[in-house]
Amino acid sequence: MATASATPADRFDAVPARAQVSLWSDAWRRLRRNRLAAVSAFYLAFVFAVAIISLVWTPYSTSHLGVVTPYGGPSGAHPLGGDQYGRDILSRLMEGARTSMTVGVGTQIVVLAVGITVGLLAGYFRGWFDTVVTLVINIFYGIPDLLVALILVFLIGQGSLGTIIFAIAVTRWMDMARLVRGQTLSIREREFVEAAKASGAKPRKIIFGHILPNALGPIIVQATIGVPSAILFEAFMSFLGLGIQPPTASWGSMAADGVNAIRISPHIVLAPSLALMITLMAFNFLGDGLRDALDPRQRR
Amino acid sequence: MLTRGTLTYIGQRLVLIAFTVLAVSSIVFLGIHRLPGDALFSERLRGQAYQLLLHHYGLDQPLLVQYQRFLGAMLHGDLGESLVNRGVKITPLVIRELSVSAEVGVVALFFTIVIGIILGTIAAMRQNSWLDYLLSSVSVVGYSMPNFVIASFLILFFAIWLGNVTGGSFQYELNWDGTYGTPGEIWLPAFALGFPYASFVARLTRASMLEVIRQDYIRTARAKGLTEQIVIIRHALRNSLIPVITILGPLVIGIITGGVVIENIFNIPGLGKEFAQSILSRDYNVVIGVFTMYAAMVGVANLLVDLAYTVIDPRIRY
Amino acid sequence: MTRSLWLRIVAPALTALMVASACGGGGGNGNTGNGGQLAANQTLTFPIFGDFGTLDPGMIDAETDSEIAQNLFDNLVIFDKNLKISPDIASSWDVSSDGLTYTFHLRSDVTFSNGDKLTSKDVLYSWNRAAALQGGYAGNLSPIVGYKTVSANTKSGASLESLLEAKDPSVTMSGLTAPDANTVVAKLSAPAGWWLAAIALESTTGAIVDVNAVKQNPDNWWTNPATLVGTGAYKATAYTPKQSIDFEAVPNWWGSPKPTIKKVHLDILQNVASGITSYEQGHYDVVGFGGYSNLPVDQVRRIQNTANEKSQLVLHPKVRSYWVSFNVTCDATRPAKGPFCGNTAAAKAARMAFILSVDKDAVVNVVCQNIVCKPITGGLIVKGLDGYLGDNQDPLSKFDAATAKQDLATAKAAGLDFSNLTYYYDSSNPINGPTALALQDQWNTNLGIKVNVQPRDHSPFIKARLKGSYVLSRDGWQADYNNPQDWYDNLFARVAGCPDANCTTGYNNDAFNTLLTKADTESGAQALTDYQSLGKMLEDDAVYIPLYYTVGAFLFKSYVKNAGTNNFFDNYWNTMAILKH
Repeated sequence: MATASATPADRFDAVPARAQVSLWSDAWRRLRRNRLAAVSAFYLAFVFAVAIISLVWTPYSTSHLGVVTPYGGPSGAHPLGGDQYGRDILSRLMEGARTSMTVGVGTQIVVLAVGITVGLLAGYFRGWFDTVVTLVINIFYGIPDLLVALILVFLIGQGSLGTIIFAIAVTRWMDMARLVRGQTLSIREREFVEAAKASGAKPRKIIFGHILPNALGPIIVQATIGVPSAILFEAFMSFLGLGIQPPTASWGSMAADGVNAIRISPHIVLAPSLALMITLMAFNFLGDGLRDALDPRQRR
Repeated sequence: MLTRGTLTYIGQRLVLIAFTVLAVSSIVFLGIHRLPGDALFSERLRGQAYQLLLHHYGLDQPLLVQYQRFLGAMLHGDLGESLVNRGVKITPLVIRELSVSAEVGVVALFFTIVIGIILGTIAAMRQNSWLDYLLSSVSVVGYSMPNFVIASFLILFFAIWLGNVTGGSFQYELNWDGTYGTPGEIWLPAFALGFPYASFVARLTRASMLEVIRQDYIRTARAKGLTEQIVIIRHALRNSLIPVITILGPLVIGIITGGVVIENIFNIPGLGKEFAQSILSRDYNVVIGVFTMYAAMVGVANLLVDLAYTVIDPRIRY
Repeated sequence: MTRSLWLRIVAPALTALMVASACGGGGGNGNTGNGGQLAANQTLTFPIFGDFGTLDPGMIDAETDSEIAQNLFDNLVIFDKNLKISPDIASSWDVSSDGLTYTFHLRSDVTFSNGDKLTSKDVLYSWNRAAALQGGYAGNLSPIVGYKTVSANTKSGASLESLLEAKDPSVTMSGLTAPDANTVVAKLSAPAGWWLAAIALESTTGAIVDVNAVKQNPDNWWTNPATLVGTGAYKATAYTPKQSIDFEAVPNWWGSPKPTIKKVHLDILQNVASGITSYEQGHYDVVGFGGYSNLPVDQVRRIQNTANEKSQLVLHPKVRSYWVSFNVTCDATRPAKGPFCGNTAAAKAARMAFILSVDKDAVVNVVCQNIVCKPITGGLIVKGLDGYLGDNQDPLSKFDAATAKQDLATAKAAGLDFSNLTYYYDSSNPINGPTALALQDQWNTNLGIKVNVQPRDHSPFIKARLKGSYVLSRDGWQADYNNPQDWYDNLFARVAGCPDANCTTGYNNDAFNTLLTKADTESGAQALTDYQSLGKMLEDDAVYIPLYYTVGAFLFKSYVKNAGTNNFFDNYWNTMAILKH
């Protein structure tokens, strides 16, 4: 972006006199200024807080059927109304936040662990390992992801949270691995890595001390942007009957159940759907903001 | 275009596809056969009839023998018989349903690309205006809500509300006669299927259009006195299509997986519905057959997309 | 045939009473028609929500298959619309005074849809084949002498076919003979008052198939319309698996009433809500036929509240009960154990605690809005059927949290352990999940006991339950025909099938077994009294927690004449017509 025009002297002086800042504080500054990303970050913090609170308290018990008239609309005591079995939707929405966040973030943790490890090793050591990894990645890309996840849940056994996280992670790790591998391949050619190698540093130190920190930016962006698709996956799986098993609530399963009652009580599907929509949009905007902020080529 | 190099490349890819299909279906086959219980057992079946059924399906053989039979049959294109709907042969079933899904999928892809390009173009031409932000948000909504919710609201609006309001003269008829869909039946499910991915296309289109707009030849065209619209459409758009091709692979896969849910909601007799249904009814033979079909389909789709690169951008060669 | 008094008068009266109370009039009949003028296009179109398991009467055991197949095949006798056993292929029959010999006189004008004439040899072929196949309802033929031999058969497909055609002794019941082309004689090994009802059971092992059609493809003859041959009023003309199936009325059909509806088209759909929307848009004439009357309760509610659709909705009780079973036998044959097993007072107190702590009305309200299911109050056998114990007669259907807590204290005092209990259910039926949650809620709230709920796939669930692996499990039964034998023999004792197939609770005592064996040989009022005593025994021993029986929901367009159903099956297509609309 063009800055406001300044005198030739300013332009001459601007570049060399720029204060030394690390990538991270630079990024932080840029992120703060991105209003959309900042709002998203606040909102997500709020959702996390709700999720944690739901562990100890919800307005009504989420497994108590019949506290509200089934299909009851919003009222004073029940601001979001009741679902088809008469459970309080607000309470279930809170528990759903916890479940959906666990699925989303949990999946990404597994993806990070596997993807980073595989990507770093393949990209740094190359050779037969890299060839095998690339082949495996290509094979996994050749299979439709949702179907693999469904089959895995089907084979392993119904919907415990761990099973679902594992099943989704299995279909998602390739993106991270490919990204990290690419990053590794390019970073390892840089001068400071050559220097480190020349001075006799062990591969472990190079990988974790030099390559990984420099690749961290894109990794964080990828991890953030990967959360929405994991949460949506769980919703699809719930719709097909292979997601989180009752009585645990997740936004996805609430939406899937609510779709059937859409003509008599649209509020049952609207509450979790809107929650999903806003939260996932927040993750997307935050991810975009992170990507812009961490892009070292930006000078603003 | 069909150089020796290209043919070799196609050959290699086909081998990879075959290998993937084989590996994947074997894994699913072996995985499924370790599961407890099966679709055949029913409350009323006494031991004898149950044994007879097992024998009919060859399920009383040791696992290795079953696997050999399965492989042998598959190489002849025979995917076996359904366990739940006895007597129904799987190969003709999945081929028929595949063609139905493909029909819907192609139309959905068309929607994705067209809507995405339109949204992206407008956003680029009105960069940073409220319209830009609005369109970007609308497309992100598509990707941030489960597609069954979007589909249900679409049905609520087009099939039900519209019909009520116009007394039945204008409404989407939620009915699929016959095997293949007529335009009147296909447009809404295809739209519901394709729209969520339009945001990816829109974003790419917007970014690449913004780049291209600044380039010299556009300025030259402007200088020549052509109106802005024609300038954009003729020159910028063509070049912006290339990045869209890069995400064609993930788009196709997204549409395939989205189809599982959309076909269910719209009662479309396609492969996605079959997949969901066979998993729910534990019809293992059909699950394996459908999954095998999907693996082959995705492999071929990816190959076609890669080949499409050579058409769009002649610089790419294999 | 001596049960006529009960069936002819009381059962239909009860049925009518129950139906009238279950819905605001309309009864089992969907409409009265408008004007009575027939439409030019006599095609009936409706959706079914799953493809057939099989249409081979020898193998059919699902309601969804039999509801369609009943229009394609006939039996020797049939239940008429008042559920009374009437002539069908057999124009009359005699039963010997000792109840051991049944002689059926067949009509001479019966033909298959491919033109073949039906004679007594076809009856022998069909019944021997059905017995040899050992499908789910092979037991309907079990009283016939020689059944034991045939039921040991291990052949199927083409090899079975050749044995049958050669009249090999291993697949021929010696008690079944055909003195001439129009007579069939069945000798029973012991009197069985329920047998006529069993062979009247539409489209199962009593139905007659054509050997000329079956032998063309012994494994899958029914998948091809050309070989899907029966004596029914309709025959298949086109079948696209998992998509649709078409039928056509058989020209010059021998039976009656002669079909008015000329064509029937079925779409095989998956999503019920969308199917109902299609119906509302006019693409279907009927919803709920074919055994798919378990429409989701939210749709039913909505339609009940929609002025111009209300009249199309018909609620009709199905003969299906649901309850919770305890593992009541502690012996080594059953792995489950648990606090509910054994004959001790403490075990019974434990069961009573769990039974009385469930508020059945609350469960029914939450699970089905008290619309598509109703609480059981008169024993497990559904109201309207023989063997029903009477309204509010079942002490186990009460809700009494205070007494429940006392019983629990008694049980705990005797050292019984209630930690780590799990209630298992079958996830294939959508009503089971919410029921499990409701039960969990009730036991938690009223007893303070946390019970886990675990869904299982259908077949592992059944297998494990039959092995006695579950302490607490969902249980249910749908009556096949109106006779308590159908319930007790299949569910509760070491008679005719237990323990390898049908005993879920392990309930077994000599008094019960003896009385059941006796009742099975009787008929009429004597049998009924004995069956009712058996029901009381189950109550006294607190063997189950009664929950609800289900009510089927149907949608009938007003222009479909005589669209309707009884407790057991849909109206036959040949009794219906499409009016001008």
